Amino acid sequence: MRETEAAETGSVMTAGGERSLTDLDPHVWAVVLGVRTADAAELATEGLRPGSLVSVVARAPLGGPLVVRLGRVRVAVPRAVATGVIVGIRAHGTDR
Amino acid sequence: VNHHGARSSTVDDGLPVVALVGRPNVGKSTFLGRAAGSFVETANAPGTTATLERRQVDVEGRRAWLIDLPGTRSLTDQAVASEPFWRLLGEARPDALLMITDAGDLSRHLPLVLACRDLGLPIVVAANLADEAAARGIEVDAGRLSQLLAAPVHLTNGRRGDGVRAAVADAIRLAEQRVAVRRGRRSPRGTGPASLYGPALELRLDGETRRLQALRSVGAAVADPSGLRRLLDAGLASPRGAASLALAGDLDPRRWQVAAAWAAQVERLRDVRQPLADRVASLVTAPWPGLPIFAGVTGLTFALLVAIGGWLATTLADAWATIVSPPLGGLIAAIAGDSPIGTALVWSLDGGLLSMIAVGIPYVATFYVLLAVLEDSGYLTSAAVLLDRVFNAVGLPGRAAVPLLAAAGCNVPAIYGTRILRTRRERLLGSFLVTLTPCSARTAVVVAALAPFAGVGVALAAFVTAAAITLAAGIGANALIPGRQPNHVLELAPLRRPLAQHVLAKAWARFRGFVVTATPIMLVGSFVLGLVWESGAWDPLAAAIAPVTTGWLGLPPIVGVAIVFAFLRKELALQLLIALAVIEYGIAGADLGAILSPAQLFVFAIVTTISVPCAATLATLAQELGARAAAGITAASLALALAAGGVIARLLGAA
Repeated sequence: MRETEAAETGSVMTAGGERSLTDLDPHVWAVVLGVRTADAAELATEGLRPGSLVSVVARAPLGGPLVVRLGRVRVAVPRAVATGVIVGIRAHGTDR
Repeated sequence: VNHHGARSSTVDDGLPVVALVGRPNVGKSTFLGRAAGSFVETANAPGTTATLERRQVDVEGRRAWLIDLPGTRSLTDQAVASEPFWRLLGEARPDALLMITDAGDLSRHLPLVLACRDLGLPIVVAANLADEAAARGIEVDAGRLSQLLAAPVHLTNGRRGDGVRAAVADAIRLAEQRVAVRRGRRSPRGTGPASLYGPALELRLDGETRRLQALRSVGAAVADPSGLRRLLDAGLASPRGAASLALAGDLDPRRWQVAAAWAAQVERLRDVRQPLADRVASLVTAPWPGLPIFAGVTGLTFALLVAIGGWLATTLADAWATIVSPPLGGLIAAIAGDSPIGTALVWSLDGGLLSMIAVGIPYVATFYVLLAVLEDSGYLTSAAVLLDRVFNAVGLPGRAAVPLLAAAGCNVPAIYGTRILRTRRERLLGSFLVTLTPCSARTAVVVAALAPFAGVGVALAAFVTAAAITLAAGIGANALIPGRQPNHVLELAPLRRPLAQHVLAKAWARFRGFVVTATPIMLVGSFVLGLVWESGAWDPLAAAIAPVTTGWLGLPPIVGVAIVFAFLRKELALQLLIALAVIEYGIAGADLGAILSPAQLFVFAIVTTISVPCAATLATLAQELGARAAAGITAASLALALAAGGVIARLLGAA
């Protein structure tokens, strides 16, 4: 399922339980279920909002940010912020 | 295509104005450069444009101003100068908007298009980077998107110029129509596009529209803290457009929903292999192999700078000494004899130009080319993520890497670039570190002073030492300046193969600016220095600073004079030192290794790198942060340079 479909229908099937974005394994696509952080507005302007599809590309060294793929772009999200992003793993597949 | 470049916020010559608007790193500046036929400072990194850049263009017989605005994620985004973006847009006074979007990422780019459409200004959409979208298996149905948006849509490739002129011509046409309406020569268009928002939001929009119209009718008697009434008064938005700004937080979620749905309608997808750039992008931000790649890229850049710059320096200096210098010296002697003026002319024309050719041109030009390659590749923001925790230690977010890396070229645009930082505290810290970052001129001084006379390893050690001092200073400043660092999100530039034409155009534009600015200063500075030397006024100056130069730093007096005059331009430090050394010690002085020990050269390089920013940087600091902050940063850098220089001199046994 495409990100756009997820956002439009709001009815994405998830295979796993809710988890924080920081706990998502690399290269596994997940749906953003909720954003519980004071930085929600900034994340929203990047497109990281409920319904969007994300995957973790890399974790920067020394506790640095998570590099998250969002659509075709990569976004660095501080781990303290990523903790508040709740995701559910997509029902089918681990990559697009 | 005719073009005239200038920096200005407003234009008032009757020509229609088209503003380029889009998210960061979508290629607006490149697009403007293509449309205008002239290079605009760009980098494959978000936040390159921090000021308004305008070009006058003549496309298909239509003349207009094109204005490049900083990238923004929404109209209310405060990413630049802590002002909502729509105020900056208002300053540009556009008659039409040319929306630059990423054809491969429309669901993230269309919300801004929809917000701009709500303002009531005519829009044209460029679905840019269409080639990269195609490489990822995404093709955009421009006709369908045009129907949905009720606006012209063009598929474009700004880097190669495909579709750019057609999009600009369309935008100018709409801007001309709006100008005609404003001047009463034409009736306004009928109804606008259909509403997206549903009854509840429409009701609120209507209410806010009426409130703003009422506010406008009572005039200046009522305060206008939001500035929306001024926007209306200037005719830069319709009443409903201004209301949409006031309710942006409520309207945005719906815009994102619509954008996602429309993107799904207009994108034709096909299965393709993931592009190599995307696969590499996944690797460069991970500790492994990202950190070794970073070390390799840094080392390779330095090695190329030393090798190419050194070869060019030797070749050009030899050519000057054998071909130009003898007849030039003879000519000056024939005209002015060996009078003080004649000697000063030799300083200026022979010594000054030789210094430019031996230091400025070889190392600065090489560095600009290497920097342009790194910028165009998009690698710099990936490196910034790897170093994010280092930036955090000095109170800065990862996005500070953009101005700090730009500072490696020149500190002046880098200080403008700190506008992408969100708070004054971050701007102060960022600007302080920018002034400590070796620019191309200081890099040239360090490499040219150390590599030939003390060895490449010593030159590399000087950069590592300067970086360590900068880091320590940043940690100290972070502790001293009150406040805390907020969390920020950074969009990473995509990795791209650098285009030779792009790289050379960028490097040439910067290098030309360097030569045009530095050469007169070098000629006049060398002439004045010659007069100072010949008149004997040099001795009191050298004596006045001798306690610091000789007593504290362990350097000969002439080195202190060179460092002081380097305030004009940093590359002067070495050029003047060579010129002074030749005067003081004869031709043998050109071999700095014969008059300064490796330890003394190391101290000279560190003090020059860290001490007082050059005149242009100081003026920019004062303009951007105020005279007090500029004075504070200058004093701090001077104190830091002297302290570090003295300590290093003692550690190395130079003092």
